[in-house]
Amino acid sequence: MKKKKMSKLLFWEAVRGYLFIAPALILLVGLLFIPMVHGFWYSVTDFNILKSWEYHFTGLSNFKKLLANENFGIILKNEIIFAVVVTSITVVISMIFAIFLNSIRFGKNMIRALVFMPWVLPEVVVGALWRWILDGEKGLINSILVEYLNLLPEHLQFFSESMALASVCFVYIWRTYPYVTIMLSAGLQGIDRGLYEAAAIDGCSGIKQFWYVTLPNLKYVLSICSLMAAIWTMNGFGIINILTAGGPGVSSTTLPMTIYKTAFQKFRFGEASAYSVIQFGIIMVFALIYLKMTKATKEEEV
Amino acid sequence: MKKIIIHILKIIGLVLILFIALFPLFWMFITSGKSMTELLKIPVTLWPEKFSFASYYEVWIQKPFPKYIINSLKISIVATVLGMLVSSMAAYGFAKFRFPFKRVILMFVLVAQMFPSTSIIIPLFSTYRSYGLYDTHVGLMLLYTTISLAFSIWMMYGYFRGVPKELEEAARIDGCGPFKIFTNVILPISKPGIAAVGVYSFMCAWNEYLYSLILLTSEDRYTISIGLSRFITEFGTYWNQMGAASIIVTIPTLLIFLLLGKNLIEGLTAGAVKG
Repeated sequence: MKKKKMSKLLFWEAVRGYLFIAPALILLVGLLFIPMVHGFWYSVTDFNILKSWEYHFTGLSNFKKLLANENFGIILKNEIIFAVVVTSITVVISMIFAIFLNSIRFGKNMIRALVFMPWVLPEVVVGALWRWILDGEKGLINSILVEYLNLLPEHLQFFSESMALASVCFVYIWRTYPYVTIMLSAGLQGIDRGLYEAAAIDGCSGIKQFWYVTLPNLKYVLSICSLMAAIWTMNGFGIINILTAGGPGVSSTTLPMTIYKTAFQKFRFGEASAYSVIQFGIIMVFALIYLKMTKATKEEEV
Repeated sequence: MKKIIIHILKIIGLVLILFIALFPLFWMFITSGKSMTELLKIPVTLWPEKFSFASYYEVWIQKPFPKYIINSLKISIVATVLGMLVSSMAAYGFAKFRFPFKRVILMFVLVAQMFPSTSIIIPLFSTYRSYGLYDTHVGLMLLYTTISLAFSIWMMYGYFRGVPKELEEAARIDGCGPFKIFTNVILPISKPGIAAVGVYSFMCAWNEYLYSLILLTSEDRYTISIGLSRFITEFGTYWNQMGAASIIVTIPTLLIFLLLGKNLIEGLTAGAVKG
């Protein structure tokens, strides 16, 4: 009898819980999850909205086409270089900035807010800013390097085939480092001061303290934000589109850029979805690592 | 003596860091004050010969920027309010109720924010067309509410878990139902968290680019992001106007962030400190 009453209570608690999460869940499933799954289905069809809005199952032909594409290797390589370069450099820079910022005692909130700026600017503005500063003729950097300081004989073409990817990486680093810096800075504050004192008594100097105290204690925050940074970078579209639109040729084309071009310039939805499936697969590997590491869901035992 | 040197070095370092973060925006401001003839000079001038606000006037009066800003404001405000409501409800549900599959759903929410938007937009494009949401602001409002949802739920979830159980029990004894407890007890004490979510959703909506690029075609419905990107491709050489437009578009973000950014930073880093 008592058990029955208990389970009835639990039942109503669950109903209330579901009611509270329902609106969010409907939006997330309806506008993110269903489209994602729907896209998987497109990837095995001949969907091309230039020809017709109807589509038929064509098996793996889209994937065969994509593997036969001579640029596919370059695009994948760009994507990997992009993610690895941006994430690793961002983490190193952010680490230095975070340690430095934590040693400053005044104006903490103001400084943190200002350092955070690049992360809150609209993507289009970030793209425009750097396109202008890195411009091959009237860009500030070129003027300073060539005309004002006479360091170089001629202007650098930052958006030429050989430099486009590097420039895109640079701008994404500028975009991402504030987030990682702020996270690491908070992580550093969470480390017990006593550990440093103990290390100092044991004769550990600054670098040794960093290696044996700071890094191990920061491992969690460090891995979570580098994963997040890597995922954002791999999904990055807006800034690349404004800066180079993936060009010249495919020199700065990444997977999202390819998906966009295939879908909305050539209107081959089927083929674009095949690229999406691959993109999704790569992201999910990182997402699973993230889930495995994060403490956010583990502490769930209410 | 050594102390003073360290102090000076610190100030230099700080200036350098702030320079890296802010200079590009400042350069846009400098550019916006130049005249068209000055823009053509090589090497570029480091400060306008005569700072003029003409480009602001041109962008504001001759180009449909006010229209774009009104559109973006409308969409962003609706998305922000909806986002704050929906995400705090969901976070409360997750934090305070027991129900089956909770962990799985939480994980789904966490992963949903990592879905690549370029992939989602393809099916969404045809779905939006068949449901009459294509080229409408309502369609974008719903979508913009959704994109910041996952992050917002996680931030609020952290806040709500910190609310002591006794507080709710006291309210329950006073005869409050779960919804009343949520609106009258939980929400008022979670204001900093809600502010953080508000800033985050507003920024997401205001800054978003890809979805509006694909889902809007009528020029009078454009958001600032497409307005600005069109500007780059069509008026590629008018960099002073481009600078003015960028500055105008950045001002709302800047204001909100300077006012409430502290909350957002605290919300974002709460997990980092706990871990």
